[in-house]
Amino acid sequence: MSVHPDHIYVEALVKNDTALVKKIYVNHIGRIRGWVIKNGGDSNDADDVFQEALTSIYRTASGGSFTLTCPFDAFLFMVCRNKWINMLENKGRKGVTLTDFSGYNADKLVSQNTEEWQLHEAKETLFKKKLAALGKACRELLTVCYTTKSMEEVAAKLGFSYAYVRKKKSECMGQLTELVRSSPEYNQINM
Amino acid sequence: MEKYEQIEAYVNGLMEPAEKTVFEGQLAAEPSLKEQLVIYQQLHHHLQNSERLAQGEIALKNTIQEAIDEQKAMASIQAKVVPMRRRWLVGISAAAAVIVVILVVRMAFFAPHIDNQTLYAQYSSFENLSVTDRSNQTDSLLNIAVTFFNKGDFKQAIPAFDAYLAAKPDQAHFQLARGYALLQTGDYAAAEKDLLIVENGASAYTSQATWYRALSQLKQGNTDAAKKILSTIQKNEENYEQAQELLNKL
Repeated sequence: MSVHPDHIYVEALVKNDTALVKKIYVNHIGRIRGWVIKNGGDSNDADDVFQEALTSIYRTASGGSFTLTCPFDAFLFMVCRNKWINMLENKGRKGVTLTDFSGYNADKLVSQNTEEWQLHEAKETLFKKKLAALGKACRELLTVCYTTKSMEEVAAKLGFSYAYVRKKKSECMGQLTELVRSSPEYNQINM
Repeated sequence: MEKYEQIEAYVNGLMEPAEKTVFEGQLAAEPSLKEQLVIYQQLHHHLQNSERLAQGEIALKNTIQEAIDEQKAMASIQAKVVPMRRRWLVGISAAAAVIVVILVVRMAFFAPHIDNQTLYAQYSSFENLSVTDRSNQTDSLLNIAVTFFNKGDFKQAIPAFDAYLAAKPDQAHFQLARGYALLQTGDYAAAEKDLLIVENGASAYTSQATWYRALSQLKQGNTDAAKKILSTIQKNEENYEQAQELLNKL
């Protein structure tokens, strides 16, 4: 599948290209706001949805493997729609019937791009959830390991031997891997 | 957990060649080991990038917040700018008359209906304008107008369009754009004037002018008037499908 010219907007989010990011907001917030208001929200909700959607696309695209193959506006709307559903659920308002956005054509390519984004979101959510479920000692060790340049520095920082730190890290990563692997959500995600 | 020490060494490229060959043989023979490796690698990637992504996300959120704040500030400034522009354009007495007319029109027609407003928000859009020739003073006025227009800053765009169209009154596309800008700012009477001129002209924008006149009525809450205008858009004209779609919703 070929890259859509609108991929520049995805790149703009990844690079935090101020001018283009602001253009995205100016060009699209009106329609998103109209839709959110029509579906039980207000203007502030629309801004929150918009911000959540853009940062979420940023996270998905920052991995480097996401390529937009459909118009950005249709994809953005689908992401906003999903975000608004999540927000409604968090507010305890499940089962709200949402209207479609007739201005956008949700074709096969839009669905494929949205599914790819959803898969990335689901993985991130699962990883964060399982990291939080990990024991405190392991969580702290992994945090230090992944925010320090080398394992030698980690060992020096924590006052342990290099070999011990390596062994503990692999144990903690093993525990985390098993937490993910045994979760029901994992079976729903095709890794 | 010896297995995970091996995975850790493999992922970090710390295995001797012979050890690596044996491990890759195990991976090929044991699907569960392969599955553990894949999850491990993805977790490794997630943790490795989480700090960088968190920092990037904060920077991006700041940019979006700036855009939100700028739009709010602009809306507040524009509310103060309108009376100044009116005085500059037509003089104090004329401005007073215009304001009275606008107030009367608004009082007569302003019956906000949430569905109409939402529909208006959904359907009202205008493609970005472009300027190719910026060589002389007149075109630099157009450049200013277009820059503000494309940014959605319609209140600032209108005076620049006024100055440009005063010198080049036959530019239907930019007259249509000014009509749209006036519509966006709620100056319905002035918008109608521009849109009618374009609609009755011989340019390629006649149908679009009709479409925006219908949206103007929609925005003002005049559903019947909007429907009447929409029904005049013919099958072979631009905006026909959108017009039919909107008609069905009304």
